[in-house]
Amino acid sequence: MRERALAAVPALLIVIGCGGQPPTQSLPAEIRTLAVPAGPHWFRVARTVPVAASAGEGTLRIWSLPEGIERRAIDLGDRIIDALAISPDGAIVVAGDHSGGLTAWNTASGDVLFDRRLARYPGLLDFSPDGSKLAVVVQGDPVQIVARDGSPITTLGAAVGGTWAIAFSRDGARVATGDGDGRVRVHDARTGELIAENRDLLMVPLAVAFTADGTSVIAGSGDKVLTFIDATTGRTIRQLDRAAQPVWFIDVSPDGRSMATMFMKAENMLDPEHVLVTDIESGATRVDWLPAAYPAGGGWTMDGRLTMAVPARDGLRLWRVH
Amino acid sequence: MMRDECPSRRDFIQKCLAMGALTLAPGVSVADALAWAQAKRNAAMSPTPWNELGPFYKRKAPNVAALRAPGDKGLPLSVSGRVFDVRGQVLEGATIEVWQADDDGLYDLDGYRFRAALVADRAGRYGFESIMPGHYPARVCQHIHYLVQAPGCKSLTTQLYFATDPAFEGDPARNFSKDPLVQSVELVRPVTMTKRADMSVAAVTFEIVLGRL
Repeated sequence: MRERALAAVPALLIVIGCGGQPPTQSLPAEIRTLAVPAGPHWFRVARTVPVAASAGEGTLRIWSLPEGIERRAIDLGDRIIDALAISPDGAIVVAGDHSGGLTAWNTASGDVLFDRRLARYPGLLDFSPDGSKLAVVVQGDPVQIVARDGSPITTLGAAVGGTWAIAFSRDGARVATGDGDGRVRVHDARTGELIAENRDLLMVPLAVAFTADGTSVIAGSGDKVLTFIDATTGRTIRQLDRAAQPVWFIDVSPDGRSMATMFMKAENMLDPEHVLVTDIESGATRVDWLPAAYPAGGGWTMDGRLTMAVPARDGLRLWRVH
Repeated sequence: MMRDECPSRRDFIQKCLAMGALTLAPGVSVADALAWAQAKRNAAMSPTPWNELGPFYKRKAPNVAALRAPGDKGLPLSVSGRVFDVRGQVLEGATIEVWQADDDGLYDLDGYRFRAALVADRAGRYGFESIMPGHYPARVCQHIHYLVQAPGCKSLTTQLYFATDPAFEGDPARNFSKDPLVQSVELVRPVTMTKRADMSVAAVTFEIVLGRL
């Protein structure tokens, strides 16, 4: 899929046409640098408003995009952040730390909305697209689905090895999990009931996403393939060509036509790997971008743009990837 | 699942009573003594600490004890142990899946190098021959991943660490948390160097205790 030697070239960009047609998308471009101290950071974009959150080096920050204006800074003390999520409307930011703390803040006021202790540190946090539910993935424990105010809604069945990937359907009614036992499961997000299960992967599904119409779940894993799974039966529908590395992140564009995938460099997961924008229908690669460092995060917004943040010495560099 | 090859606690207490090794005070029954012995045993074994699975677990590993192939780089390593539940019963038939990086710190995602699915024998014993894992670049410590399962018990994901790891600077009790994923010094095991045939082998014992469902 790509040349190993290319990994040494910072911010290398390749745009590949589909079926002989010229590429129709714009090239990735660096748009802004968010002024944060050098060091590891998390970065999340709100889906429906131009707001983002970053966490790292002891501070949680709320940003206006695309200007990159810091709207609020919240002192995290010595908390080591393991997971970060911002609600699609940008109103709530939630952070989980390595000692098992889970805190939600109002981004406008900075007030703490809820503060809980988890059995262990969280691995993932994810809001439903309507912002009404939050999935809290505690490492090695069953997934908790809670409301915006932190009140419990349901708990999913325990999976051997815990849950490593999670995503809600667009209507927020279902949640897909990539579990340590190699299975992809679809659950009712309100009752926790298991709806479908796929057992075709050998390795841990590290990324899952629903297609826009909710009929399929796309899963990526150490098997290095992207697998489309029927969200009702759990059957494998199709698989894209084998990639060079495991898939670590999948996000489907608002129009449902494209997906962003980020790969993991298995030899050292802290090193950057390629980010692709792929046409879901044809499987054609629209953009193949190698960031200079492992991205702090990002995703699609409702305006159809894919924004990612890449740590650098002078801050978090924002890239418009698509 | 079977009991260890030793007399039952009831037999043992009856024998002690018969031989005068144990005297029950007035009002204390054999059942009380048994309950005490049971509680004592329960308190004696706590579950092996959890550690996260990691992203490189792969199902359907082969049931082979020889993970080290001729010519493999790295210090030969022999790992052995037994699998118990918290009541001290050995867990015959428990499955012990192990996977680790090679000497260069790389995991095999395409095949099953340095991966195995073992089964505990009648005495709950397991063992495998491997190499000391290299340092995976994104982790501080050398480690071997475990997924252990047995009927009637909670499944356990954990990791085995080595007291000789340079990351611990010779003092694992003080330095184990230099790797934020190592949450218990109990998982850092002493290493014994032995001589086998013409080569040095590092030997580690790692006993596993599973919680009951």
